[in-house]
Amino acid sequence: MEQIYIKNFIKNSIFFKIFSSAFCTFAKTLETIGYIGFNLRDVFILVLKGKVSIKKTISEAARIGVDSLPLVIMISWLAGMIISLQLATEMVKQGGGNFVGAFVTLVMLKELGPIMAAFAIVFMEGSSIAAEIASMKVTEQIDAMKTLKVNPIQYLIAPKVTAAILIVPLAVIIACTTGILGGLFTSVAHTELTAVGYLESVRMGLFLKDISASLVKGAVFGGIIAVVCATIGYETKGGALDVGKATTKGVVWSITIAAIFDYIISALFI
Amino acid sequence: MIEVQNIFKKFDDKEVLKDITFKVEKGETLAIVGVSGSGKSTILKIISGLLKPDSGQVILGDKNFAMLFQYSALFDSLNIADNISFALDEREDLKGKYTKAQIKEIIKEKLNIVGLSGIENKYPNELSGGMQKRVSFARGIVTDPKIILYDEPTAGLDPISSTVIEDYMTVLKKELNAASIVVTHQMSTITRTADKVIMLYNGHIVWNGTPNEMLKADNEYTKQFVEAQKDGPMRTSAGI
Repeated sequence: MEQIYIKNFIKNSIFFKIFSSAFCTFAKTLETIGYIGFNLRDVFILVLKGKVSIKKTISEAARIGVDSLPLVIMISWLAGMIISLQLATEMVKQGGGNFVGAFVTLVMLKELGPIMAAFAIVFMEGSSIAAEIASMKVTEQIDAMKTLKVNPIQYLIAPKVTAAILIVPLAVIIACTTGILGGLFTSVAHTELTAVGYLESVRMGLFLKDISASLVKGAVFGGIIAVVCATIGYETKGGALDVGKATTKGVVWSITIAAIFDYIISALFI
Repeated sequence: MIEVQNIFKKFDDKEVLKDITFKVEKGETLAIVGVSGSGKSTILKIISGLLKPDSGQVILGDKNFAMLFQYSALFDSLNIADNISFALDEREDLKGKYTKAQIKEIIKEKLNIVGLSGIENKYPNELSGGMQKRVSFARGIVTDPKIILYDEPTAGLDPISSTVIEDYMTVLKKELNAASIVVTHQMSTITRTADKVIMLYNGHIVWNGTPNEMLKADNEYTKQFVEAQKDGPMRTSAGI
């Protein structure tokens, strides 16, 4: 009797509830990471076996590229302008005007270009991938696909992940170029720096290692966004509300995992 | 032929199926009936391989089967022609087996069987619920399956559309000589399409027989179901 009382007391205590809730969240997080890992492994196996449709990959790449391009250009241009606005006036005053272009280039290449491209892709495409696959899941379209003996990973996920890995580095190049040009615009407008002077300074900030790191980050971010959003969509259960939750979760998880890999890649390329 | 042997299935702590065993022969239709939450659709998902049983086994006489879903489950990003030819276009073992002209011909033929010609270029959201069901029939039979699983094929349809769907089920059974299982709540579907009936409740088969026997049976479960009585041994998953 006493033992049952103690058991119930522990079960109903606030500490137990907090602990069990934290444990459940932790277990679910591990489960999602596991699903992402399995899907990524399956995609790589399919790519290595040449079983990913080239036609579908090109069509997905075109969709990802075209849909996110305006946002990539807009936010990268603004980022370049803001950095230049913060730096140029002060650097020119201190006699370092010749380095404004190099500074903007370094910041865009090393960090902001890949990040801005990833943001644009995750907001425009990641959310759309998660919503599309989640809604197919809750309306039994994925079950129907399985009963028709078509592998949903091969048909739905692999072309998206492959396309994102290929297209996001291109978006990074566009983001970096636009950011540098945004910096040029502000520098020329707010200081006595000339366009030629700024562009010569840009050349000083261009290093092959930074360009490589930037492209690697683009490919990794692209893969992360596509596989994370697709997996979260694929594991959705329930109805319309869960589709919405999957979309949000896909975006949050993609950005978080991309940030972790950003740190790792930056550390590798130092 | 479909043979289900001693299937058990649990979701979390709830036992949904307990020792389910039955057999459906070629050219035969079995109706699985029961109140909501009695595990009917779970059986279909286990037979189709979408779910794994905790124990027991399913033996399919033919690996070529079709499953028709309650809400059609048509691919909404594809038009009707692409929905129907999906398996021919995307299945690893069928890719490249047919020319474009042959696929076009097959689509036309399957749409004719379900009485829907000339809608190849429409999208699922442009069709009524009944038409979507018929398209899902056409998609299901594109590979001439020898086993057909129907998950509540007439749910949400008006009585006339239900009769049309039931007629197509009978036509398909004759054309393909398939072993079929239909999960349903509708008495008309049972009497018009089934050769045998099993009634599920609380994970068990509580009654089995033919549709005619079901109508006359002196069994408290079948009586409650046939007469749609609130009072009786069965309660739904909603607790009613």
